[in-house]
Amino acid sequence: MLLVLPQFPDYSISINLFTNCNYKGTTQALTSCSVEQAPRAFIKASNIYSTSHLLCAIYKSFIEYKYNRLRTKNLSTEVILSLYSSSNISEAFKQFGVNSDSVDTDNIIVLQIFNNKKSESYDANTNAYGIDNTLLFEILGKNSENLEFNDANLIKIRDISMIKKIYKIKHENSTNNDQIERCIINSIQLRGL
Amino acid sequence: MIDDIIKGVEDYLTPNIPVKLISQGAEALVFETNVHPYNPYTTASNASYIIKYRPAKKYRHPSIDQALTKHRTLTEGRLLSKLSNIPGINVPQLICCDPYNGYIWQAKVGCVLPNGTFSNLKNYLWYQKNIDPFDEDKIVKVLVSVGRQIGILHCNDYVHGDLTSSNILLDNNTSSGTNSANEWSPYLIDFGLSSYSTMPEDKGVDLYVLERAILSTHSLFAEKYNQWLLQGYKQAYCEMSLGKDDKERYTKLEQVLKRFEEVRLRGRKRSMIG
Ligand SMILES: Nc1ncnc2c1ncn2[C@@H]1O[C@H](COP(=O)(O)OP(=O)(O)OP(=O)(O)O)[C@@H](O)[C@H]1O
Ligand SMILES: [Mg+2]
Repeated sequence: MLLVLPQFPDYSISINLFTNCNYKGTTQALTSCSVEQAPRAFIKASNIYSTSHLLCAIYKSFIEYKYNRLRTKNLSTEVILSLYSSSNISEAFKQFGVNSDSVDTDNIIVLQIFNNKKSESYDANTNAYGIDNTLLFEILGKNSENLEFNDANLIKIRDISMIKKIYKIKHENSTNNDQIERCIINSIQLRGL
Repeated sequence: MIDDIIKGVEDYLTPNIPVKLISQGAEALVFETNVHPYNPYTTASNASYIIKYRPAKKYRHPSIDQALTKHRTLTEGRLLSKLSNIPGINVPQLICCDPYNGYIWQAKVGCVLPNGTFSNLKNYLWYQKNIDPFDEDKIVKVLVSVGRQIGILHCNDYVHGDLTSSNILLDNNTSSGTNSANEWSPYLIDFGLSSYSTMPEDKGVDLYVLERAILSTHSLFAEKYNQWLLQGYKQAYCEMSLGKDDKERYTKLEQVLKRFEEVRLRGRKRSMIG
């Protein structure tokens, strides 16, 4: 999916959900499949509760980028920090990032945020930069399947007990789905402030 | 002056987020929009979101002003978060915040009453009293449930800090489970001055502020209204004390009520000296 946040119209956000991944990335491969104008972030999809969960972290990253400061390399990687409930960057990457030791990661979200003005070479058909898609599939595995990023697909793959652990959601607050999502959004929006 | 501030808000939000100004208070401007800040899936045509903006105050030193704005915005955000985890308390959902610029987005609660006014407690009391002066049942129900909200808040050692009858909104949404149509759920809003406090004094002041608000807008019926509020307040304390530490909870209630009485007396003296 290709998305523009209403408040930040100069940027496009591409979000792709892949399942059945047979992850073979090395740090080097990951780095080389990011182009400078549109760095990629690889996110553990099973730790994403809903579309609002990820989108709320993206919004927060934009606020930090525009009005405060980034704590990571770029907007895409900043989303991984924003997703986490504390400001510990290495923990955040361990929980939400896909790294060279994430061999058991079946479901991966590939995120790219780029400035529309600087990115003429963007290919809307593939929702990603054409130049390195081959490499992308090498990393994700030949059998990986691109699903639409929506709530219905996330529900199928999310790991609720893990998510509750990450956000320290207590039992009494997990009685209904709205309340879980609400707890997640609260902690993302207020983290580090 | 105000036009400049609104222009600044529109610039910040861009033309993609059209807003309508709905309130201009002492501290903040409140806008409404139907555009969700980050999730396009939830942008339904009838959805509505509240944007509260605390503009810079020219008479304060810029750096103090910025720190204060950030502090108030964050306080409000934190309270919306903390209170949403306490069973029985209703607050609007936090959607996002930008403390650097003084913006906070929240879900909209409340609705327009048949007489055209917005459903805060103050307007509701006017409205209900006028349509049916002899039917007090509805008012009793609402005021007792408002009292319960405040009771639960205080039992959990949070104080509101600006508990007026326009900072209590009534919502009649039927989607929240047990609520049948025509039943009002009270929601607390406006937490910029709220805090965590175990002091009976702070709670007494909350109760006093609300009592004064009722007294000044509904003087004829104020005594009854305040009784019903207190009835709900006490109810909450009793319910919360079920099971454990009965005695302690009960003394806590007594302490607050005693302070409330003292605050009231101080207030009366002050107004006599004038
Ligand atoms: N979540 C909400 N849903 C619906 N209406 C809201 C919401 N938040 C604020 N409002 C409206 O905006 C008004 C002002 O909001 P709020 O009390 O938070 O701001 P304020 O500037 O501190 O107000 P004041 O100084 O008048 O107390 C409310 O009385 C209410 O009518
Ligand atoms: Mg107010």
